[in-house]
Amino acid sequence: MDTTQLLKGVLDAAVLAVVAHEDGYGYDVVRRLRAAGLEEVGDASVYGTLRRLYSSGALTSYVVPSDEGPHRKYYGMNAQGRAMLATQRKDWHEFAGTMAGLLETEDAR
Amino acid sequence: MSTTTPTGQHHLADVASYAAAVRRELVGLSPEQVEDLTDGLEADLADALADPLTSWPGTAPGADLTVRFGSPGVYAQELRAAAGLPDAAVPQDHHRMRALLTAPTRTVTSAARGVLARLREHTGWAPVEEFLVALTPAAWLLRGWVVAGVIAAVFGLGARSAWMPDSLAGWLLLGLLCVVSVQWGRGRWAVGRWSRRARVAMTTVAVVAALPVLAMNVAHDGQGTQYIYLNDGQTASAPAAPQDGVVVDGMAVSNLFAYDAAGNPIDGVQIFDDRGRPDRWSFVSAQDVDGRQLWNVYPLLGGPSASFEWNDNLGRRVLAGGVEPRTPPRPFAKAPAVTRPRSTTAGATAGTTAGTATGTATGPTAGTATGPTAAATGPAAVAPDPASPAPTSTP
Repeated sequence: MDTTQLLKGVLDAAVLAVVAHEDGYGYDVVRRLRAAGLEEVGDASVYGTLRRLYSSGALTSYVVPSDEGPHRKYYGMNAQGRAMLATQRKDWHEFAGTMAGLLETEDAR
Repeated sequence: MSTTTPTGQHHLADVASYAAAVRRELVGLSPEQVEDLTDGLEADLADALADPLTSWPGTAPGADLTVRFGSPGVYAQELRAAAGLPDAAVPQDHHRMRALLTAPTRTVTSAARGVLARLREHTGWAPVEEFLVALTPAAWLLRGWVVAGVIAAVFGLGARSAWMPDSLAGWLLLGLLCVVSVQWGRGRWAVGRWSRRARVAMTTVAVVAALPVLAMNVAHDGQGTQYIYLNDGQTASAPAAPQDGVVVDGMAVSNLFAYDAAGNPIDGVQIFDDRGRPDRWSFVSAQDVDGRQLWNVYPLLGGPSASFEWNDNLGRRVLAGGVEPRTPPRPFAKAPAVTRPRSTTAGATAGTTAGTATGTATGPTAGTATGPTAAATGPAAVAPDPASPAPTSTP
């Protein structure tokens, strides 16, 4: 199964979860997602998602200058983001439960 | 971070060019959207390249970043899709007319953006752009000045020198427009749609009218002054002078009174200018009995400019020793005779002249010389003896 298609639907929740754990900049979020097991995640997809969540007001953002090179844009959670994450977590558990039930039933037969 | 290693610089240059390529691919988005979407992209790309945990192929210094990240076009597409922005090249039917009208502007803008992006790939461009950006306040002032010039020209506030106004209204207009232009440039006073439209209109007028206004001013200045050539080879600018005739201090001379070497007034002197001589001459003054220099004794005596030398004591150029001052070659060996009307009041001077014009006829054309090209027959008009450099006359 092509997990990249699955990923598209849950990337928002995954990104929110990572940032909720700790503020992070673009590639930092990518690395943590991959470390958590989402190896297929694309760099640009994560950056785009971060921008979109920020634009919709679910994330805060701040720039940290770097002595060595280009500046980094960090993202952090706010109340709206936390609420969004809570909703998505609930939706995911319901959906996963449904899917698990469906698939286990098929599997058990 | 490997950006501190010697290979880090390679990475940074590659990263900057890849990021520029991605920005170039984000066509159809506003500059703000592109900036928002790619802010911090360089840092993310550099960190991804430098990440020791991922052993991607092709991350060696100088390697093509497309091996690691894919083509800039695909990368940009993924970025904008994930950000929820519409795809490039989606025509919007309800804005068709407007799209048609603004097509030339968009073509120019995107071409300029492309050139800028390509320039930004060169490392040497950054300081140049920095310098140009520092000049933007001057461009704001220039915008105000050009538009003020256009408005002044339209409403007839045109000044004598068009570079700067010379009326109170003109100055007020210039000041107002400069303040508005600078405030707009600083991002102030620019709220609302109409302000934005006014700003676009003002910039357009300034860009379109800049060259005509400059050309007009230069032409205007060209009429105001002309350059004259002085005897000793200096040039000087002088106020506009009458085009024809004898001029003293910028004023046309309406009459000339001539006296001979003996100081006697001469009637009917014919004067020719120095056109046609092959050599340029410098002149020396005659002197009166008290040693004062006289410059109104004609023809002036002198010599070729090359035979003059600088004299420190006198503080001017003088004729070299051993060179006799002489008259320049006469333009005509002989001038045609003239006839003059005999005025009843002319007797006071006519009686004392040593040699007078001999013409006595009267008539409507009397008083005008017939020109040197006419047959040079008849009695010649008498001119003062050119060989006498030190007249005793006191005019």
